[in-house]
Amino acid sequence: MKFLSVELENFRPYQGTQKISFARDPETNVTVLWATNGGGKTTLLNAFTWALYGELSADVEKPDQLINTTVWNSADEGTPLTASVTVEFEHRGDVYILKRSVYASKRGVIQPRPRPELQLWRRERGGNLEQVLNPSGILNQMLPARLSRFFFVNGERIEALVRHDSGEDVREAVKTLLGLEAMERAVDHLPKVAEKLRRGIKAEDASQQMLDDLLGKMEDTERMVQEQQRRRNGAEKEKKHFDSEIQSLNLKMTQLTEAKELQKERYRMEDQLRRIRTVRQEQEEERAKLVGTSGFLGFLPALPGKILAACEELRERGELPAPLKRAFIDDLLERGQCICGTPLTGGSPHRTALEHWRARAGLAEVEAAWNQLRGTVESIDEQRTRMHEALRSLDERIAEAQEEQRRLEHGIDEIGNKLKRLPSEEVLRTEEKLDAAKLDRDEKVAAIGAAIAEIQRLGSVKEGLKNQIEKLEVKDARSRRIRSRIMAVEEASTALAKILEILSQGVRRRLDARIQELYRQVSFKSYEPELTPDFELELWDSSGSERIPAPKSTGENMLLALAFVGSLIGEAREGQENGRTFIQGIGGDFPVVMDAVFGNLDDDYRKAIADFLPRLASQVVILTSKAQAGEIVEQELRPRLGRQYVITAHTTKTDVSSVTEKLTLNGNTYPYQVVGSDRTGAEFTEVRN
Amino acid sequence: MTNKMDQQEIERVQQILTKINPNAYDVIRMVLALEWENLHKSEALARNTVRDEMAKKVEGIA
Repeated sequence: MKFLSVELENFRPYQGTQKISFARDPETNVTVLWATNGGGKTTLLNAFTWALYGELSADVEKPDQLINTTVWNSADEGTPLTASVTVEFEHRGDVYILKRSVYASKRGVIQPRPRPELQLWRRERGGNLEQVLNPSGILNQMLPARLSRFFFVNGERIEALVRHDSGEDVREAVKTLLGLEAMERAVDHLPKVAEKLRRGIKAEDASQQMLDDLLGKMEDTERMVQEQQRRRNGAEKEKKHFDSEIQSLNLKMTQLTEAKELQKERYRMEDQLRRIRTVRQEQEEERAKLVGTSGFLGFLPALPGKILAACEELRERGELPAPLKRAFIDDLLERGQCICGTPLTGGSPHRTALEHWRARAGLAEVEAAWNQLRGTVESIDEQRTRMHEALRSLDERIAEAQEEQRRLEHGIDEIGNKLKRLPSEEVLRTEEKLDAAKLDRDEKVAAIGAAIAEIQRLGSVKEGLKNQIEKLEVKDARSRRIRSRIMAVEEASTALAKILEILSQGVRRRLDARIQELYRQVSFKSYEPELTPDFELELWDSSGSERIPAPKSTGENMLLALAFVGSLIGEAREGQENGRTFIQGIGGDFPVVMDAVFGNLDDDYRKAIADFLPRLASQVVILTSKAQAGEIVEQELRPRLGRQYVITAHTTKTDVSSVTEKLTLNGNTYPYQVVGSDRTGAEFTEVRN
Repeated sequence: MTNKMDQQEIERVQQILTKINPNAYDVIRMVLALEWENLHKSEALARNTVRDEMAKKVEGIA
């Protein structure tokens, strides 16, 4: 997708019809719009999301007042008025024109609640416009609303992506991007399909009542599962909040001079504790596997001897099958007479029977099986000894890990006590808050565990009920067909759940690699970003012997968030090139529109971001004030600038202090803020090259 | 490294898809197409539509 132009008609501060076109050349792919604070930048960002999705950001004041107030106020009562945003864009080789409008007749000062209308046309080769049906659905397929915040970026809010509790937003974005949202919904919805089908089964007369009872119980159980899932999701959300609080309190501790060293030591021990827990878990799993596959050997101490003795006795008594030698039968066939005297003439049934026996003669299998049995039985003792040794070794290692775990936990507690004994009041308060947050977090962990256990139990109950339903005698062929459909639906649901997990982790891994690469290119720090398996953006400092969370400044947060946006755009682009969107993900080349990305940053970060932005996407639109960007951004962006506009802010006020009246760009001067104007609003002027 | 892992990912998905019953495969195709069509709807609305539509669509399965 590439934006060609946007046209605003009486939309918020933009009076009349005003249009801007965007840079599209790959080498000069940046369009910059310069505007003062409150001068119409954020409105322009909102114009995109309103046109595409009918959405305005939450901080927009008086969101119902979409028609330019100067136009509204100066109109006569009853005059029909309109406001609209028209976006012309190119998507997969076609040009589209999208227009969202509101209409209202002037009645008083306050505008009525808007009821926007959306239209979408595709421009045909001859220039004719073909209306596209279901414009909202089509637009949402091209660039889903859930992704809009990553492509229409508000610099003041994008930083929030780096917060701990943003994992869900990031995960949702990733799933939408790869088309996993449809798959995720399918996994949730297929059991409902199976339930509906199950209700259509008819049992034999006597069983019908039982079937109805079982179906009722199934529905009750499903309701209970949903309730537990709701509890689990709630607890997980709260746990994330406490995790985030713990992380920021820990970081605060590293910034307090008295606590710094102890906190670093605690980080080191916590990192070791995490590793030792993983090792212990692996060893416990290995032990469980060993017991599962070889545990039976422990119950056979005397059995091998007994088996061998019993077989030997049979052999001695001649009760084991004696070997029937092939040579013996060959002799009989050659002689043409059996030992009982029966003639064995060619083609006779007796000769045929003997020839049949010849093929089975030798009982080699019996001999081989006996030898194998003997070998196996004799090796049981040895196998048992080996298993005991392996178990002993695992037990010892697990005990060592437990001991190490206890030591580290004790050490971490000790550090907590030492911190509390330090003379600093602030350290004490921070440590107490940390203790409280950890307790709260542990409470949530317990709640999550309880919900998971209950979901598992209810899962078994459901499975049992399903089995009972399957065992009931169904009445007719139709019911039998329904059963086979239910089986297909359930198999599809299980397979999709597995595929969803594989693809989610696959895209997470690819995005993680991209984020690391992009972040390395742009950051001055030797930190390592990570998109965790829980889809949270983390920043690590590995400069010491242990990896510890890096202190995240506003600049680093911005870089990390932008690296994430860049990774999404890159993944979408590559997804289309490599045909990875086989489940209809969002593939393609997407533009990015950014508002206020340079605010509150020092010059180094402004320069780094200005250098980074043109590489982030194939089309970049930057909305900034001159004060936020400064000379350094202008210099950095100049080689990549395709188009520039000034958004002149008009105000009827006259008593405004510290006004920047003019803006000089490319040697030309443009009005920037007009005080004492005949109107209040915003106006585009293209900057001459 | 990444390409190798991508390949493994594709193989794992293919393995799952080749092992399942052809009827289950058809269900997957039908439900994904339906979910995609209803993606712009709210979750609750999409759930009801998919449940009702799929119950009819699977009637084509023998």
